[in-house]
Amino acid sequence: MPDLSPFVIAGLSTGAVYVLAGVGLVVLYRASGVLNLAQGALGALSAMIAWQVADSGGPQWIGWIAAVAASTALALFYGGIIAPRLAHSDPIVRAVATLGFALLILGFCEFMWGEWPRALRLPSDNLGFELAGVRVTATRAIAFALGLAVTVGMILFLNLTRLGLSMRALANDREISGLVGVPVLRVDAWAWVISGVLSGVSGIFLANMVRLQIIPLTYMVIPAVAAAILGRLTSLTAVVIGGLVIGVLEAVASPFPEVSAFRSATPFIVAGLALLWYQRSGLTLSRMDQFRSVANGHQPPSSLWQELRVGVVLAIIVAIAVPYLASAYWLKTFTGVVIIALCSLSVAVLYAQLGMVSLCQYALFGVGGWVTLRLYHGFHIPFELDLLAGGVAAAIFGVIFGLPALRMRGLYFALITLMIAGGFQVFINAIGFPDGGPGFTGKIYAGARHYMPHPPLAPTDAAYFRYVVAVVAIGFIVVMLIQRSRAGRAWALIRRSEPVAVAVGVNIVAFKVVAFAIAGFFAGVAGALMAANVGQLDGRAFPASDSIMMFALTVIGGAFHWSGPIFAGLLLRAIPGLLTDWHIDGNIAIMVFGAGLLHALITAPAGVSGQVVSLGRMIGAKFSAVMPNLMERKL
Amino acid sequence: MIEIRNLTVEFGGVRGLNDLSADIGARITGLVGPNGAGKTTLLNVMSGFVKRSAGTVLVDGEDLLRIAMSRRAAFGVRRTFQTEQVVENLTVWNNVAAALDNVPTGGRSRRELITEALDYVGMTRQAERVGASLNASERRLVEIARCILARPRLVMMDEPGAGLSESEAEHLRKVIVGIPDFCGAQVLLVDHDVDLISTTCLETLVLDFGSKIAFGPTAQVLKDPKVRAAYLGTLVEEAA
Repeated sequence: MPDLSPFVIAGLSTGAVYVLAGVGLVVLYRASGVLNLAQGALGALSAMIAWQVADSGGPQWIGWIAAVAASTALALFYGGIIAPRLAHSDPIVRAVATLGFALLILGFCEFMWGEWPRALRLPSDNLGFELAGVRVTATRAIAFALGLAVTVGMILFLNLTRLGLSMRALANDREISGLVGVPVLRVDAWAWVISGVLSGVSGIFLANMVRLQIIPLTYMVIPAVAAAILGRLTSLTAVVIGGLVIGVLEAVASPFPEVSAFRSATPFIVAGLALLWYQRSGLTLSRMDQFRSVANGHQPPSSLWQELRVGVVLAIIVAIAVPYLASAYWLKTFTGVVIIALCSLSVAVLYAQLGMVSLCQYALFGVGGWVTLRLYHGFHIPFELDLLAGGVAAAIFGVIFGLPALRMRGLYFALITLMIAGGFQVFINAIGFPDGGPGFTGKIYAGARHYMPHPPLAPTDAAYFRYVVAVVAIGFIVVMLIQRSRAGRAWALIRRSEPVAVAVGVNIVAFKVVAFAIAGFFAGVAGALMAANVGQLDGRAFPASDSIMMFALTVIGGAFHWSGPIFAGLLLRAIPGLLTDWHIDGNIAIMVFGAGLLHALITAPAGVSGQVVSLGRMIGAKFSAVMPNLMERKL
Repeated sequence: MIEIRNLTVEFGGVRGLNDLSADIGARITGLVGPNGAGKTTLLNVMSGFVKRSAGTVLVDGEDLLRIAMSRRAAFGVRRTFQTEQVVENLTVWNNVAAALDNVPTGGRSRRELITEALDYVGMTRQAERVGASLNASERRLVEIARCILARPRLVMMDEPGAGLSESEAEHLRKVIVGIPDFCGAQVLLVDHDVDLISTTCLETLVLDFGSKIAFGPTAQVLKDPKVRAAYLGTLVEEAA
């Protein structure tokens, strides 16, 4: 048994920074109803600015002030300009919109600084004292004291000051608070300031204590969210306990080689257990009124056969034409586009049918790929069986992942899936994808990796492209048929409102599980197809950001029409290829996608496909209005 | 037959329903009372959305509150809501079919059951229209069609008459009055419209602050001075 005390002390100070960030999340959420998932990105930006100033030879304290001022100004900008446009949307839409903001900041930071390992030193690193035989730097001591002091200060502030009272009033009921004279916008602005300052400060500390790297810092929002979940997004005391527990568990796992690779999964596990505990009290029926108006307004019922005809004809044309027209590189890319469209469809099913935001479909894509590769290398079974197995495995995981948040409000589902995306990144990074090695993980650590070939039915790249188009087309058709079946009708009722669904006898839990299973299955099948496209998958290629990107692009492409996921596939796979061809920094695309997500959520909920479909209808209507006249003239 | 026994519901320290007991046996029973009297709370307990603190509700001798929420429609307890709940992007037919998915058909064909229900409420010709295109009255009728499919025992309606024109209200009244004959269900009708209550309900239960203040034949109850004081008095004054 190693001596754990250094790890406990390190964990307590890291945990205290999670507490700082978590308190910022909770105060803002309570006052404004926005769960700011961009907090980590704001922290990353702040840390980079502090580093930049120090690196350019400026005094460190100017760097800190500039860093916190920047994160505060950006938070205030978002809270003042963008958030009000979504003030009447469902909490989940408002939370997801902050992901768009996060992508914008992330893209900007990557563009400016790139993902190089750097270090942010603080003068307090050199001071320190001995505690229980362990040297504690002043930085860690300050972080710990600050975490506790800010929490206590915030509790006193909320309970004793006039502004705090106004914030609690807003948390209770914004409209009534406004009617009785609470200056809603000003109180809101203060909440954003608090959140901005805390994200800036916590970013600097984490950059010093953990590491100064943009993407990891951006995802530092995950332990903060986990701590906030522990407090049900309202209790500051529970945030303190949650943050410290997560920090300590993460740290004490380090000296144990069996689990140390997985220790970053701690927040996910803690938050998952908390959700399981909280949901024991039973089903919370949600109304989702805002979402409903969006979803229903953009799903005009249309003739199944007409849609199928268009889709099948399109698929056949694409399957025949693309292999003749595209170069070898672009043929592979378009195979990827079609595969990603199927994964995006799995996001769209949950979002459009049930208003559920799943941020882990790309992780399920990875699960499907893993199982397929494992079975191929282990047993050499026919690819079609392999494909099904990948889908079924991902479906099972999808249901397991969905269960903790199943009976709770939609926001929690989005959060738990975000944790899963983060957790999956950790796991898959640690175990990698099977490439023909021995043992459960099937990894080859020394020597050449084995590739999985295309299936025997489609040995060439051109044939495999057609194979993929056929499988994906079947997936789309199955989803369209399910939407018009009993499950589709039940989903429609749940979307309308959960009480009415229950009143006419819909088993909400069962039909949500059905949706998770279907979405998981297709994400898994897509992962299997990708494994056979590339021959192997890379464990480092499944960052949580890709799961978020998958969701963002599904919304941008349009979740409410079958063409939306295809647009999403094109944006996600073809655009980066084009940018490389044109020598444009790919981080620009991340920023554009972030802005696109905000734009889609605020002004174009049906996405690109919605705009294309309504354009098509308009032209159709014009055409049919003109046609009779032409006919008459001929007569 | 619905037997409510000592039903109590507490929200924090507030009693939504206070030791309510009533044997509801009439084909159509009115449920009236001022805002906040507990009418919708009673419906919500029966639907399972609100947990009782004490008491029981028996429907045809079976303990309703022991049945899982989502099984109560199949058991035969159906309802409409204060705000209409038609799915905008399903057709009228599918709106009704969605409700039939979850209740036993008694061996009859789905098509026949849906046709009958739409026919009864007078929406047959609208069957292929989408929910979004329906007016307030048509939405109410679709909701009623959902409730009367395949042998319900109890149909509860929460202010179905709100916001209808005179001729629409007249049609609605006929539809409500005929429900017991059409499908054999008892009807429990919450409404503020005294006219609707007195012309459709044989018996009426009056609630105020979660307690029963009167229960009996409608005409008699509406004359009760306690009822007039608690509820109708204000209406009479407004009318004057």
